[in-house]
Parts: sequence; C-alpha cells; structure tokens
Amino acid sequence: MAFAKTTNPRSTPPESAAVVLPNNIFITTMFWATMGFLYLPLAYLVVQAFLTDPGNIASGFTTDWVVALLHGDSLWEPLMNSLIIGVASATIATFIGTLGAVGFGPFSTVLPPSLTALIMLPILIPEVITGLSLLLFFLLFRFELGVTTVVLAHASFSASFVYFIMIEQLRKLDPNLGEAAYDLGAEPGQIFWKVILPNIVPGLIAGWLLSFTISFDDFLISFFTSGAGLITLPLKIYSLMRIGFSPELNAMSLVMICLSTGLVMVLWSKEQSRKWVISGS
Amino acid sequence: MKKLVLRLRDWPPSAWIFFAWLVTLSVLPFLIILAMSFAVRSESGLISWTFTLANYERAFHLVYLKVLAKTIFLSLGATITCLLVGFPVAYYLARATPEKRQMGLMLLFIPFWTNFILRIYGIVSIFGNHGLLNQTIMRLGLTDSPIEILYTRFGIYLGLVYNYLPFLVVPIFSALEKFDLSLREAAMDLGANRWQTFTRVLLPNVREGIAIGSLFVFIPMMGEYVIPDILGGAKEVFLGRVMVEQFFTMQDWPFGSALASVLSMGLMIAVWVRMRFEQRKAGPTSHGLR
Amino acid sequence: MGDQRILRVLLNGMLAIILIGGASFWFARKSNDSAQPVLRICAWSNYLPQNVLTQFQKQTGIRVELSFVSSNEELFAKLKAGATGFDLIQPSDYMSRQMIRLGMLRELDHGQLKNLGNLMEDVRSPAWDPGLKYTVPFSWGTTGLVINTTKVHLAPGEIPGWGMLFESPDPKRTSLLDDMREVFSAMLIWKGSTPNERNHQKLEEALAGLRNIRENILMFTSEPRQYLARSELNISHAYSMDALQAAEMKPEFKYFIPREGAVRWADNFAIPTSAKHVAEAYRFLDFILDAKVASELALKGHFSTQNQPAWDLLPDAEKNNPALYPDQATKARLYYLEDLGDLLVLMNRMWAELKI
Repeated sequence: MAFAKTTNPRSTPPESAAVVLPNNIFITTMFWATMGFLYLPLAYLVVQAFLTDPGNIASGFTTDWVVALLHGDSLWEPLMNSLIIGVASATIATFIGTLGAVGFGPFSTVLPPSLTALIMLPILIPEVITGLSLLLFFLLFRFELGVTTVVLAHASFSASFVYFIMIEQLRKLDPNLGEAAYDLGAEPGQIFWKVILPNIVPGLIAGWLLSFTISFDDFLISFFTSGAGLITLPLKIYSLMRIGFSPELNAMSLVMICLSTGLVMVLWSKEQSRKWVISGS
Repeated sequence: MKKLVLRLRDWPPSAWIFFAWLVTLSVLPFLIILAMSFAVRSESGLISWTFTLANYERAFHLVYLKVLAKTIFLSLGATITCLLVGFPVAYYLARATPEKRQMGLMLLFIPFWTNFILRIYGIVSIFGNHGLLNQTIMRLGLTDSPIEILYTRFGIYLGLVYNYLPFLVVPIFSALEKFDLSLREAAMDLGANRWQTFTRVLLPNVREGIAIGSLFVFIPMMGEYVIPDILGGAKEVFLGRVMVEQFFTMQDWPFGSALASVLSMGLMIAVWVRMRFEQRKAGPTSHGLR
Repeated sequence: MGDQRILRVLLNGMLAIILIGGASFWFARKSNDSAQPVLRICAWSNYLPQNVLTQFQKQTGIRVELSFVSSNEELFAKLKAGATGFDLIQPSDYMSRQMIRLGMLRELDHGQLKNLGNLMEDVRSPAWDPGLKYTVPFSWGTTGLVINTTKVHLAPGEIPGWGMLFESPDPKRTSLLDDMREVFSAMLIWKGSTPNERNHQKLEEALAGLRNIRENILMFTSEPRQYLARSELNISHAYSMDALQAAEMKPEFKYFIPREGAVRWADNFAIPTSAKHVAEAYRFLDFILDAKVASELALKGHFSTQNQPAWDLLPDAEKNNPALYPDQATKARLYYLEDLGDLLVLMNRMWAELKI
C-alpha cells in the first residue's frame, strides 16, 4: 500500500488527452461532494469550539472554551501519554518493519502466499480480536498492563504497515547501487549505512509517520491493553463524549485537527520539495 | 534479475527478527485464543483447562450465526457503498495533474489523520437529531420534526463509509494510475461508447485494485465495534460486540474465544483463498499483493 | 553527499528525542511516586469531585490519582488481567460478591476504620458481604426512568410506571440501558415478575416483549445524559445517580422509581489484594466514612448514602426526596440483582437475539 504515488510517465495523460477527454461533470461533482462530506463534520467541530453554546449554531462567538482548555489540565496527561506511546511504537515499528523489508525484500517475488498472509495478518485482523488476543497474551505472561503493553500492541501491527511501505521503497531503489559500492571497495556495513539507508529515508519517514498516526489515533487496542491508570487521548475523549456536554472537548478537537492538518501539510510539502529537488537537479 | 528460490536457510537475520516479532505478537496471542476456545468457563469467570467442544457448539447456534450474517451483510453493504462513492474519487485523482493528485490525496487523508473518536463525535454533531443538518432544516421550516439519520442502520453505514473510504480509494487509484488511458481513447476511436468503454475496457483492468481495496475495507469493517454502538444506537450488534461482551460482561472467556476464532478463521481463509487465486492468475512474478 | 549527513542527523535526532523523552517521562513518573504518598483509586466517573480529593490531600498529605471504568465488568476484567495499579476500587454489590468469592479483595481490618460505625443498620451485614469483611458500603441507588417533564406531560404527584418506556406515547424519544440484566429486569418487573426470575417461560415472554418494542425505541445507551441534554431523548432508562446529576443541570429532567418496582444497586469501596498503598487506602476509607464528608458527597453526587449521621446532616428536601430515599412500601419493590448462574448463558443468547 503505497502512501503517495510518485508519477509514472506512462499513466500521466499527455497534454492532448487532457483536452480530448475532460473529466465529466459527474466525476468532478462526486469528488468534491465526497470531500465536502468528509470535511463537514470536522469543520463543524472546529466551529463548535468557538460557539457559546456548541449545541446551537446561532449562539455567539467566544474564545472561552479554547482558553479553558489551555489552562485546564485534564487533557494534558492523556495527550502526553498518547504522544509518548506514539513516538515509541512508531520507532519500534519502523525499525522492525524495515528489518523485515530488508530481509525479505530480495525474495519478495517468490514469497509463498502463506508468508505474505502472515505478514498481512496484523493489518487485516479486526482490531477487536487483536486487542483481545494481546490482552490475553499479556495476562498469561503476567506483563503488567501499562505503557509498555500499549506500545508493544501498537507496534505489533504498525510494523507490517512499515514493511509494505519499505518493500515498495526498496523496489524503487536501484539494485546496482549496492553492487557499485561494493565494487568500489565498500564493506557491507558501509554499504548499508551510507548507500542504502539514505536512499530509503523517504520510506522510513512515511512509515514512521503512518505508524505514529495509527498509534496516536488508536482506540480499541488501547482500550483493551491499557490496564489501570493509563489513559490515552482517544480513551479520554471517549469518556468525555459519553458524559455529554463538554465544550473543552470541542476546543481539543480544534487543536487536534490543526495538528493533523499541519502534520500532513508538512509531509506533503516535504514530498513536493523533494520531487522538485530531484526533477530540478 | 536473478530468480531466487526461498529456502529457510537463505533467510538473513533481519528476516528472522521480523518473523519472530510476527510470531510472538500476532500468531502466539491468536493461538492462545484458539486454545482458550477449547477450555471451559469455571465458576465465576475463571478458566478450567479441560478440553471441550461445547463452546463451538454454542457458537454455531442459530442466533450467533444470524449475528455473523448480519455483520457480513452490513459490512458488504458498506463496502459496496464505499466502492460506488470511492471509484469516482479515485478516478478523479488518477486523471488529475501530478500536483493536483498529491493535493487530492493529502485532502483525502487529513480526516483520516484526525482522531477516530473525534470523527464519530463530528458525525453525531452534524447528523444527530439536534445536529447541524437537522437544525438547519428545521430553521428553514422544511420540516417540523428532525429527520432520523443516526441511531439507525443508515447511521451505521454512514459511519463505516466515512471511516473507511480512504482505504478503498488508494488501491483503486493505484490501479487506475497504472492503466494506460490511451487504451480508452483507442476503444472510443474504434466506436465503443462511453459506457462500453467503461465496463469492457476500464473495469477489467482495474479489477485487481478494486478487489484489494474491497478486502482491505470489508475485513476491518467486520470487526467494527464502536460505530454500530454509537452511530447505530447499539440496536444492531456486530459480532465484535458480542465477542467483547463475552469477555467483559459475561466473563465467559472460552466462549468469547470461540467466537473470535470462528470470525478470524473465516477471514483468514477468505484472504488466503484470495491470495492464491491472485498469485495463480498473475504468475510467479507477483508479490501476491498487487 | 551532503544530504546523507543531513539524513543521518535526522535519524539520530529522532532516536535521541525518543530516548530523552522516554527517559524523562519514566523518571518523572518514578520520582512523582516516591516524592509524595499517593493513592490510586478507580471509581465511577461521577462520584468523587476534585474538591473532596483536594480536601483529603490537605488533611492527610496523600495525593489521589483517580481513574475510571465504565462498568463493573471492565473493572473485573482489568483486575483479572493483572492490573496492579489500583489501591482502591468501587465494585457494585454483585461484583463485590463475585470478587470476594474469587479472593480478589483484601480482608478489612476494622480497627483502622474508626468511622465504620457510621453506617446504617441495614447495611452492617449486607447479603453480598456479611459482616463487612471486605467492603465498605458507600452508596446505593436504583435504576428507573428519567423523564423530560417539559416534553412529557405528567399529572402532579403522578408516579409513572415502566409503561412510560414500553408503551410510550413518543417511542422515538426513548432509550433503554445497554445492559442485559437491567433491560431484562425492567421488562420482567413490568410483566409482574422479578429481576431474578428463573423460569424459562417467563424469560421468553420478556424477550418477546422486548422484541416488540425494540424497533420503536431510539437507542440502547448506558449514557443517556448527553442525549437528554440535546433533547434527542425524552424518556430514558437510567441509573438514579446519572439522572439526578442531569437534573441538577436541567431541572426539567426528573427521576422516578417506576410504580411496579425497580432494580436496586449498591456501590462499595474495597481494597484489591494487589493494592500497593494500603495504609493510604484505609485513610481514605475512613475519610469518606466521616459524616460531614459523606453527607457532602451524597448531596453533590446525588446518590443515596449508606451513612447514618451523614443522612442526619442532609437538608430535609434531600431526605424527603422519593427518588433518593423512597418510603417503605416502595423499598419493598426494590430488588438487588442476584447471580443467576447458568441461566445467564440463556439470557445472553436472548440478548444477542434481541439485537439481531
């Protein structure tokens, strides 16, 4: 599952085709309508953060809730927990997933389907089952439920995501690069660190960010494996949601939506600028 | 490129590490569940490790099969909806210029990167009985009482489509991108109309992408837990909810394990069959994924 | 060659951030623990307001860390899964019974609880824990109906029955609790039986009754407050505490114990065997057994207290509130939920069937 496709010259319609077969109205409308559908709830959440009465759109504008959020402390600990867990699990997942891609990469064309299925297993299995099975696993081996267990749980399926991203990335890598370096006298260690690794960094970053997002966003698995006293942000939001009226929740949504949007834009612009650099040089 | 045959002793250490990781954290826990499904629930929720098939007997009771059928049915419906909505989106992206494409993909994924629970919350605040939609409609005087969108089956579909759409769009988009659009031109030059071109030329070539995308969406949907609860008003349950209830409310971990095993086995078989079919079709050069 | 270095720096930087971040968090956690005596309580989400915890800290110097679970079963599952982070938990009556049976609770040393004598007579030796060897009763309540009186017309002094829910004039604004026992209990009581009915025939009838109304209700939810606040629900199956807390915010919501009877529950405090800060736990228990504290908690939290002198301190309006302190006649129609053993398997299947 590639995160962002780089362009394939064969599939980019030549200029003339773009003129000859324009996108019809239906397609364009569907696209923008769908975008509207996807963004409406989020946009409204952001708006609600500034409404005096979040339940009533006609009520006035206020910054009270946002201020209350910044001064209050109920949401900061869950946020910190989620961040730490996210960073830790993303790093572990990236490390393990990359190892897997590097290890199985050369054989990727002849991998038996059962092995591929195994690697895909953590991604495909519904979260309820992953969460439950890991809970039992931790119970049986008497792991104390807490940050470690959640980190391991998140990393367990993120690693497979990273694997597929890295396989794709490795495939794009020029296979002769390694050989050339070897011929020039580099040792395997040097080849890895100085030749291969820098070229796969975009994949690493994409994989890390994807894993981080999955972990930060995760609800079900954290629900099962977090044990006593550990609240992650999604769990906290869930419990707040159930109580009902919580304008700070809306303010928090605002913050988080800004964060995600910012993150994606950073990633996008990195990808963009990288391409410009490559195409320009 | 040299053709390599994979033998166990060829595996480099990095492959072994990854393999060990998978086995420990994914296979082993599942095996534990499997094992537990053959155990017996003793007095008040503890497990007595005596072998029994009673749990599976119970799991295949009509009621639970109905729940499974319902889960499959709703997931299927939502998947198809995702396809109908997602295909034009993927098409648009595939046809767009490279910058627009990246922009489009980015736009598609931003909602995905906000918190899941927030998205649910957002849906409730728009589509709920006193949400934005109903408030607007009522203010405009179009109707007296709010339209029931949520807490119904439709609410479940809404939530599922909202959450899983990006996952479906990406594989279809990938497939469309690879598709040589000049083929389409050629077909139309040869006299085929739009619809014929679509069904006979375009669709067959992107079948792979559609199938992959559908699988990536259908399977996780089957395990959905929160969406039917909150957006469906908890009136209809998915198998995941029944399963979890066994563990938490009923404290019947063996029975819950049996349900989990049944669900997983079914899914895994479906996936495995799919992959073998694909590999056979695409030949030995395929990774089995595309 | 330049970007290689940059990239390597990036990677190293990332690693460094993680290590530093992780280490500092870990140290912060550890030092926090040893610096100040701490008590970790797992309670229901609306019982212990912050000001009481602060008061406790001022009085004893012990800092309280509060976490929540949303159901007894979740509590049980977490404890069973080896969670050792709780020093004090709040199991309801039937869960207390179960935990005692499984040896999950510490035996209490009454000598450390000088305020224990404050408890009311009828709770000194409750069915789930004779002699109070393991639990300290704290509160009790009922499960009944919360009604938005501006939307649903009730005659003054009228006490609605379960018919309000099951034969509602406006079914699309009704909800049932998302709890198997509670839902079946309500229907069983309405049909003239009791929540602990063991007769299969009666259960089938209850199921049939529930199936009839299932299409009409808006939803199953154990958290109706948010929907009541938004007027999406007007009549809800609810726990007395939740209902009364909602009523505090919006007085048009009134809680009623239905005419025909209702389920009664009790929430107790207990110290799990895996607790680490036992001395602190005892101090807290003694603290909340104090008449004034218990009284304030009961008043703010809208639950019925089990504490005699605390009750004496309550204002008359509270004492005479039929929702909190019903008369003897009503009390006779309140039932604690009993363990139904194997019957639960059947009931669970019916519950799944209800939701197909």
